[in-house]
Amino acid sequence: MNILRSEWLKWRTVRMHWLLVGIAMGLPIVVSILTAIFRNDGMLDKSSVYELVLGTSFVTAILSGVAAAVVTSGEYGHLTIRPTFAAMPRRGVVLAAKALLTLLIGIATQVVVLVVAITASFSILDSRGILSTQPVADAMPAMIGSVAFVAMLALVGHALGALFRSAPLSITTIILWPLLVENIIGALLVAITDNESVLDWLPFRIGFEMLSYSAFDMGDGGMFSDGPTRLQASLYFGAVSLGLTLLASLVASRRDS
Amino acid sequence: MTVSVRDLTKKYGSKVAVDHLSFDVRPGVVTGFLGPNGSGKSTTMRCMLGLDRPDGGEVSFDGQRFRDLPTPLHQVGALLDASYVHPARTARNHLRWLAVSNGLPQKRADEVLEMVGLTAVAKGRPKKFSLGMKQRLGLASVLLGDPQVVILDEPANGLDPEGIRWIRDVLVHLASQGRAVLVSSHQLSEMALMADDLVVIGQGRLIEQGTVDQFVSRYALTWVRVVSPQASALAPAVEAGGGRVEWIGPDSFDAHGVESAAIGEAAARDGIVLHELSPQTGSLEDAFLKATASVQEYTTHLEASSDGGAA
Repeated sequence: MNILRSEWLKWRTVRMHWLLVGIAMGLPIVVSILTAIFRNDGMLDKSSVYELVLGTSFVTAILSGVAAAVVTSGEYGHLTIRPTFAAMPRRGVVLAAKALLTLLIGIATQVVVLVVAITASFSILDSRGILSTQPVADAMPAMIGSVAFVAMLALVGHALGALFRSAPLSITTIILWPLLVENIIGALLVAITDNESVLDWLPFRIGFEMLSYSAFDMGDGGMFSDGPTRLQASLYFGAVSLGLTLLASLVASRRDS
Repeated sequence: MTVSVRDLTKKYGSKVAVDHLSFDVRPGVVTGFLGPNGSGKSTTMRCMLGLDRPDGGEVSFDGQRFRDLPTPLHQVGALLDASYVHPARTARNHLRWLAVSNGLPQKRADEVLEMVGLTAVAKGRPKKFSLGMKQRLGLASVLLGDPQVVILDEPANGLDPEGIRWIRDVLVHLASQGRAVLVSSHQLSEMALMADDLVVIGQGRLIEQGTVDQFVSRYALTWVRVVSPQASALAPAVEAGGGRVEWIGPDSFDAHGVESAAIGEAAARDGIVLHELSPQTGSLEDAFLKATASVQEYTTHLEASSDGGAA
């Protein structure tokens, strides 16, 4: 518990960390509020607020990953990892505390996004006289999925920071991997196997779809007709992020700091 | 608490940084850790703290491995580099997270800041600190847990003369309280003033461990300074006794290879008046340079010219 408290104290006493998380939270909140205020095409209802907030939360997820990568790689960049391990030689415990803290901050980040963005948007829509056509309960699985995805991607950012020890490399990877590299790999796999279902198992592709409100609203609980269900997708991406974290912890525990 | 380093070996690829190094750091004394640049001092210290993984050997603190110490700040305070701080985290918060990690109260941060004279800048960020202030902050982190062992790598770097004297006094005081203090430094004059024991290494290997006096007497030159209005009459007697005379003035010479008692007896026998007859010993720096001459990692091929330039 002391180690977790220490890591939290470390995290919260650097303004840059708050700024990064603030940016991660800001975009979905601002976009959803502005949309609720200004969109006026007759198509807007509370259902589309869920779609908007959950859809733009992919930015929160990416930026949470970036923030975690900056925090963890910063420990190596500023070499504060050395006094950290000198004060707490059980590296596995330290790295577990860092991972847990990252996970909790990721969860808190997306919960704040959902609560603020949806509450504010609904208040605005109510004041504009636009009635609800979608019960909150229908959006709940996707909202829970988005919280899990943001937390998992933050964990991936932490793992990349610990593996690469370099903020630029970690940030580049966490942005380019899901947006570019995985698409290239997917195209190659399809070309080689002549089977598009392999795309269903590319981790970030699955992860990003966890944020999609309408995509999951297809009755069978999954966006892919023959692909994994939401639960399977969550477990799969969770396993990927956890596996990466364990790998990073193992490597960081064994090599010189 | 005694620190015991046994057969410590650390390699980086084919480069052997620390080569079967063994030494002890005793409680109650300041142990100077000396070696030329690249001799493996910092690597040894990192291995002692478990930051680098040794390829062989072990380090123990009263028989316990460092990583088995439950709250290391209570046993071992270390400062390897004053720059190991986040530039944007305040000095107080830097110390607070360290304190919390080992179950110390957060107010301890303010206490040690007071000890090192940084209370006024407790809310300052290290990115605006001078190197001397960072060294003081580093020393504050060492003192947090009131440890029994203190390990410092070049703590006087960047300090002004007052700061150097202050850190010397602090280390001597800590040792006088029964703590084991291991400190590396290239400032040999400072080391001569504060160290009781020395561990001298070169190319990762132990050259010498012992007291400062033992080390100096073993490696530094000794001679006898003779000043006499009849020096020219005394010199042949010194040479006849097996000594070598090196003239330093018309009435004075240094006698090598002969004891002062023998010179005094020769002078008395010949009725020669002596104005000075004093045994001389080379400095710790002389001894260090002689001891490490064959293990210097980096050597210059420039020679100082008589006008102070380089030839």
